[in-house]
Amino acid sequence: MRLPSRRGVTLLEVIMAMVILTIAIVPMLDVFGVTGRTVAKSQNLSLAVGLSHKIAQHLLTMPYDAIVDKAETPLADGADDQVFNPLENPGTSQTTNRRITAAQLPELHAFLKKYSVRYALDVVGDAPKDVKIIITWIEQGRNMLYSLRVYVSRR
Amino acid sequence: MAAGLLTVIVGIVTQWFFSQRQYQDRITRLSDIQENLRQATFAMARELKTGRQVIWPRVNPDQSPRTDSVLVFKNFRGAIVAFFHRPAERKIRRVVIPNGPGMPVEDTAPLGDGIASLTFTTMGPDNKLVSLHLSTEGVHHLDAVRLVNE
Amino acid sequence: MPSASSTNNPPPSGPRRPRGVAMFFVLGIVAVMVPLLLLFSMIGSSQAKQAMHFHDRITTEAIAWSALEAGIARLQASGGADLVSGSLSEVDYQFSLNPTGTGMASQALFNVFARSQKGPFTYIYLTVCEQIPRSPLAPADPNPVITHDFWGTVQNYDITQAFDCVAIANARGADYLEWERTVTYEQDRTDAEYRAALLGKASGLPPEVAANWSAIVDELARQKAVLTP
Repeated sequence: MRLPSRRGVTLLEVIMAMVILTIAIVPMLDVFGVTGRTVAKSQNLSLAVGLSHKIAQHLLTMPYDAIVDKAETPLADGADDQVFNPLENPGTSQTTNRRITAAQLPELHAFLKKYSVRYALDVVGDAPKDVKIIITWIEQGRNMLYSLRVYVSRR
Repeated sequence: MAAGLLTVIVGIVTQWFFSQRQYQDRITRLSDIQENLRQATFAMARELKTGRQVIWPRVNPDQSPRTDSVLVFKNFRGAIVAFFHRPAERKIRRVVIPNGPGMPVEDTAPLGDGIASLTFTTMGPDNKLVSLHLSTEGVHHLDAVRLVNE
Repeated sequence: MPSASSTNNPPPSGPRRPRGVAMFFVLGIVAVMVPLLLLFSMIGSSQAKQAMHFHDRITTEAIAWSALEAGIARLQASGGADLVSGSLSEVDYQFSLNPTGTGMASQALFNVFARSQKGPFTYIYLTVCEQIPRSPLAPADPNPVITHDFWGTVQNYDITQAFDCVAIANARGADYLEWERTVTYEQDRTDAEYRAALLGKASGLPPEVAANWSAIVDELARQKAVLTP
């Protein structure tokens, strides 16, 4: 029996559909990736804004002469700096201080470690001191930076 | 053959559609969480900054920080204000305790919604630096406020 | 639906096949995907916008505070009444030192207004500064400056306009009067009276605060204002 000519057309349509869909879906899948990355990026930006504001507040309690340049310091597993380590203390003495370590604050530690979040200070001038607070992190293999400049006067 | 190919395509796209819906829910949720953390932080920081004294918690006798989920302070107007976290509701609430006649009044609207955990940590020799740590479902926000009034 | 050509020709033998089925599905799928795509791009862009709004709000606070610090530094170095502007972290700021008189110890009194703005967000601080004259024994040292009663607002006042400066000062004044009322309330009560009044409020407290209320009252009583001779 001779096949009707329309059968071939339908198959062609399906093949065309597959091609069109492939062409359409591949870039679209990347758009979803871009959206996800934008949300993650905004999360890291907000975190960096909060961190720099936190440091700016700590500068107001530090002795004026102790406000000096500081090299990049990691927040996770960082040395005791009285800003991020120790971060919390649910108890009543230094023995219960909590630092950002895998043992003491595991979730926060994993989050900061994942993006390798660090901070640094660049201090220029005097009366007032011009302090550049620099937050750096790694996002999708790229080095990211956020900075906030603030003045601190002698009290 | 055409019908088979079409079924495969429709199947793939349907699966893709549902997986994207799940992904969309996750992204929307993450987005909401971030905004909740941001709004709550700013709302608390505004009143706290020009506050006068932190009443609770107090730094420990050995000057180590002290953490609590309740923060009590005197605001610029001298009223006693408490910010506290209510884990069951995942809300941050504010109550004003008049420093004079009158009973405490809790704000109807929460300061923050959808917040799984919140800690206030007081630091510094004068107990006037309050470190904030908010988190929900793996998203964290850190900030601090230095009270500037006496 | 039959096409124009099929109406002109006799239909093929055998079961009739729907035509354009695949294209129908493609169009259907695209119709589903396009709104989804739009939704996703909206989530991404609105999230980025919200993050930038937060950045702008927090940054205006930090820069307004920096403007205040710049004003204090100017008073320490004997700077006079002036309006000074600049920018930090790409945010514009202004501070103005408005003299309000001379104090009992010959110190110059100033209202210091500091303002920063980024996009639609504004932050303004007002504080009172007392500039104490330099010691004749150490004329090279900066002037000691005492600052107190810091007050802030996010309302968009123009600190270059005297009218707006008066409005800011009045708003702060209303809050300051309330502060004085609470101080008087504390001073007029003995420790025991003050403690009893506060403990009486326990029944109206949320359980989270009530749990530590006794210890909180101890601290409030310890910090109670007292009349100093």
